[in-house]
Amino acid sequence: MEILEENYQHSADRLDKPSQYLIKRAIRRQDFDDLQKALTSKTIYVGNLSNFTTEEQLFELFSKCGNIDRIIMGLDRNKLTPCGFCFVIYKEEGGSLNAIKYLKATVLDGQSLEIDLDPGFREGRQFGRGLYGGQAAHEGSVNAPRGGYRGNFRGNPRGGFRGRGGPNFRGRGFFRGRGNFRGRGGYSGSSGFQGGDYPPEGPMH
Amino acid sequence: MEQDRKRQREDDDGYGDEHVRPEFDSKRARDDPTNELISNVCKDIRRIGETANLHNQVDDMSYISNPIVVEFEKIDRLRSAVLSILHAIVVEQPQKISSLAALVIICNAKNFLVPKYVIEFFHTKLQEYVAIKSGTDNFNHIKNILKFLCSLSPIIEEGALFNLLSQFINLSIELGSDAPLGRAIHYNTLMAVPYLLSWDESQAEDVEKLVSAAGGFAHGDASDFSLYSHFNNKNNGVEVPYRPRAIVELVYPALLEAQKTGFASIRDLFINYKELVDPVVNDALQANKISNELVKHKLPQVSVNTETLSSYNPSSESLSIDSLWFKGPRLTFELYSHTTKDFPTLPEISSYAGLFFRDICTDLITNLSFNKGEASIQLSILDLYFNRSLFCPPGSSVDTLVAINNDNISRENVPPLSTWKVEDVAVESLLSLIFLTPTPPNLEIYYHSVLISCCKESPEAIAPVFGRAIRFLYSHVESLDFETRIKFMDWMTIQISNFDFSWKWDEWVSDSQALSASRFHPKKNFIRNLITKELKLSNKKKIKESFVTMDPETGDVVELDEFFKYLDLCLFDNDTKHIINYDTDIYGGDDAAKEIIAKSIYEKKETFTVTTSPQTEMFFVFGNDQLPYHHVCDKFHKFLLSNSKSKREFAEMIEELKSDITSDTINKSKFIINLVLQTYCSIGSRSIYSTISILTRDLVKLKWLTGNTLSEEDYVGNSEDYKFPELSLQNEHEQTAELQNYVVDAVFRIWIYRPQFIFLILEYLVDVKLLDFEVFVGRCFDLEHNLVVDRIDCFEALARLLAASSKAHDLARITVVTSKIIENLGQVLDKLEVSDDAIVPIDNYTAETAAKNDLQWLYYDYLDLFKWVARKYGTSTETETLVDLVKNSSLKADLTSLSAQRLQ
Repeated sequence: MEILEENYQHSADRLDKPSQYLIKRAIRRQDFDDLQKALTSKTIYVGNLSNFTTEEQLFELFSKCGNIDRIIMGLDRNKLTPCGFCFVIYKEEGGSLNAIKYLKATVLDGQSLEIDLDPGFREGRQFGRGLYGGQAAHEGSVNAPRGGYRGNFRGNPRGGFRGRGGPNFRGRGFFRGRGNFRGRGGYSGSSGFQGGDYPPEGPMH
Repeated sequence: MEQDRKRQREDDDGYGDEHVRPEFDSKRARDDPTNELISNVCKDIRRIGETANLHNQVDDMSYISNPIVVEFEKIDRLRSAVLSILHAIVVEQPQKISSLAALVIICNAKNFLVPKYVIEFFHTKLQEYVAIKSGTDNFNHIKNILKFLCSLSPIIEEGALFNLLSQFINLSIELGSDAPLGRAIHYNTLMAVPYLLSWDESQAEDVEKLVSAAGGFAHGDASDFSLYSHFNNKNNGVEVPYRPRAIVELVYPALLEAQKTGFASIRDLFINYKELVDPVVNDALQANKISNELVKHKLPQVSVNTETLSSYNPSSESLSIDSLWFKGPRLTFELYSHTTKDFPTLPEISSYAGLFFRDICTDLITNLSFNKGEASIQLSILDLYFNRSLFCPPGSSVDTLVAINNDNISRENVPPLSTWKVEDVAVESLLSLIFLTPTPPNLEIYYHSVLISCCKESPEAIAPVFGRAIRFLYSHVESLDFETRIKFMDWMTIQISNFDFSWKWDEWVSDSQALSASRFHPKKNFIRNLITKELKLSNKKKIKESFVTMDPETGDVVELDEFFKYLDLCLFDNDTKHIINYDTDIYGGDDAAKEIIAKSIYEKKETFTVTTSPQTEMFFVFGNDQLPYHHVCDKFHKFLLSNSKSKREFAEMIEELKSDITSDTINKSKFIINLVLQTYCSIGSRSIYSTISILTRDLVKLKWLTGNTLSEEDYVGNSEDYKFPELSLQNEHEQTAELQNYVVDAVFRIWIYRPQFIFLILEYLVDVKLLDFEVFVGRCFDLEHNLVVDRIDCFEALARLLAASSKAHDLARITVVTSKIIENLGQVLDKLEVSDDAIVPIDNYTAETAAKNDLQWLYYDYLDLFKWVARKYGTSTETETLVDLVKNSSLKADLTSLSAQRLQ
């Protein structure tokens, strides 16, 4: 799979690629079709919405990335009320790639949005697959912290990398440990980020 | 519980941290030591220069150079990865160029073959870009490669860089300032030349010679940039904060200025790597078994074909900096230099330092658009890559700067300390890209999200910087160009929506109160539309709660009720009266009907609160069972609700409705179009896409009903073998336009409290060719309401439609809009009773003259709208003919000059 290989064409990672969730799922199933489809998809999955967020609010935000064809609200399959996710379908592929690059972690109605490329919407996926009709991932994580600030980009506590003098890995005052080559840099830190209610198990088939 | 188990497994996989660099690659990489080495080396190169302590930084460089010099020749993949990553950093993160050069210089001492490869590789790239073999941002990349090669001057043979740079300077002179590429190469080369001084001053003489050679570039005499400028003085009616300048005009004088002091100001920009790296280099040379001498490398010139160059036009690719030279004059945007009086918080834009940082930030922001997080990190640590005394400590407040400045004046600080704020440099660069005319290289939302990321990381340091920008722009909103004003609104809305909508609204209370009688005063218009935009991202309750301030004496939270009136989004003033009149008219002006309508609307309005949903606010007159013909309306409602009906059934239904309505006073077409359209909207009222999906289902039927001529295309893919009969109305143009206007009226009426819905639906109807674009534009520019100026939703819908038609090369729509604008300008002049040889003044606002004052502002807003269309899409010959017919000499001169300014 080409997209899984590092090619050193850029000075930083590209954000317009499928999430680790989709990649891992593809590897686990040894089925890369969806991943391939997701890369050229006009559809994105948007999660961690407030249950009160409306289509029009989503339109206002997501239309900044491209012309929208349609928005499909994720519904609780029993109550038929919004349950925290939606699909945004753009008229062109560029829209979905822009959305994933620019709008991840944007706050809408006090919620920091989760966005992923999506292999494409199919009828039925708008319904939550959780035990109680809502989104499975939501129901499964009642204890996970929600709605708070989750958009820190390196999994650092707030104030992270520019704490200037603190134990952060770039910027001021940080001494990079030396030893063997592998140990250098210290940039594999994955602490701090709370897994919350994502990946979007509900709408995935 | 299956779900839970599955979830658990996902978590155990380590999933959940997508913001961390994916571990997956390195896990795989561990299987192969070579991959792991490549991955680690590249990671380290990517992070070069990010360490605060310079000694550690140079130690790190020396350490990183070890695997490179050992394996560079042996492992092909490592070599190509390193070269590739160097190129990526040079063009995407030019702030790291000096640090990368230091690394290469260290490598040179350990194994001179590494720089040999590097220099050859970059020379090949240079050659490829000049020959326009690939890429869309060739000449901007060339600029950055030249900067890098100049930084490598200590290890390049003497004279080689001079020859190469001279070649580009001569090329720019040959192309001349009339050619966009000539201007681009002139600016690019002169921005790169000073990098010869980044290592030491030994090349100062060469720099002087190059600068003097660049003096041969003849500058054009264009000085009127009113088509592209962000602020305009409205015929001296308002003050502008500064006069915009083209950056291409600034670079040569800036270098001449620097030359006066022996380029000291330029040398001081760079970190003095020489003093830190020289010991490392000397040690390495002594330990070098092959050569103890510093090896210098060849750098040949490039071969240039001027003919190929003249065909280069990156305009079609919007995402490149090169294309900016082809689209507009690249004007300066200045903000923070006008926010503090006594001392600068950032380098003066006309100095080399000012251009230098603006250039680096523009490149870095534009080229890192694939990773907004990285872009915001790099901007916030920008000061680390340059001389450490250039900026004041990050996060310093303006008060601290005032104190520093005072100490500088009283000579307590010797030498004086800097008052430049790195945050100001970063934020001003981002804002200058947002406001770039005619079109920024990236989508505006990208810049917004970088600004938000910066603010989320260190709100205490960044929020006040934003506050100063907002205050500055708001205080000059009278002179701010219309489109720029909307872009300012866009940024401010999304910015504060990410931070709980908190803003110091109390600062604007007095303006809002003073302008209570005004509609089109820019400040009033700004506040009203800003709140409209906030509401679109949130809800009335939340926004209402954000209008608070703290009582300074008691510390209590006080509501700012001045702003509550802006929560009412009703399309027209005096909504109740409007609805009653409109609905009564539908029912033929019947007094009994009027009473019933009035009673029900008053009753309904009493129940409205801030939490009332759009659906509840909808006042669907045809659902009122006390009104005449309720059974007819009900019949149609049921007809639509039942499963999809055939075209024949629909046509029969319409005929039936017509025959049911027997009253002579009722305009049947108007009644039926309102009934049909409003019933669709009411059934689909759950959301925009419900409405659109039900309209899409019956599109052909509705096209027929609204007087459109149906083509074969409309019947394609239809199993039903039925053709609609001629609509039983005279199908002349006038008649159709009337029917089309009924459509607009019906949508205006049903969603009167939600302009967002109105314009999304109308935009859709224009898009699917049910509604004529001309009719739509006629309503947007209707001089009674001036919706295009008054309502942000209207402007946005029009802007999207124009962008789409320009993309489809349908320029007729652009002419429709420009013609309408010219017509309106003429009519506003008539209303103002301005004589043909006079200009429109802007009088001081008083409540008594508010109406006249509104017209004056409106005049300039329409003029700005003309600029907006002209600079984005150009003007057609039809428009120019209309301009010739303009009677007022000042307006005619303005329009002619604006049309002529656009770069073709």
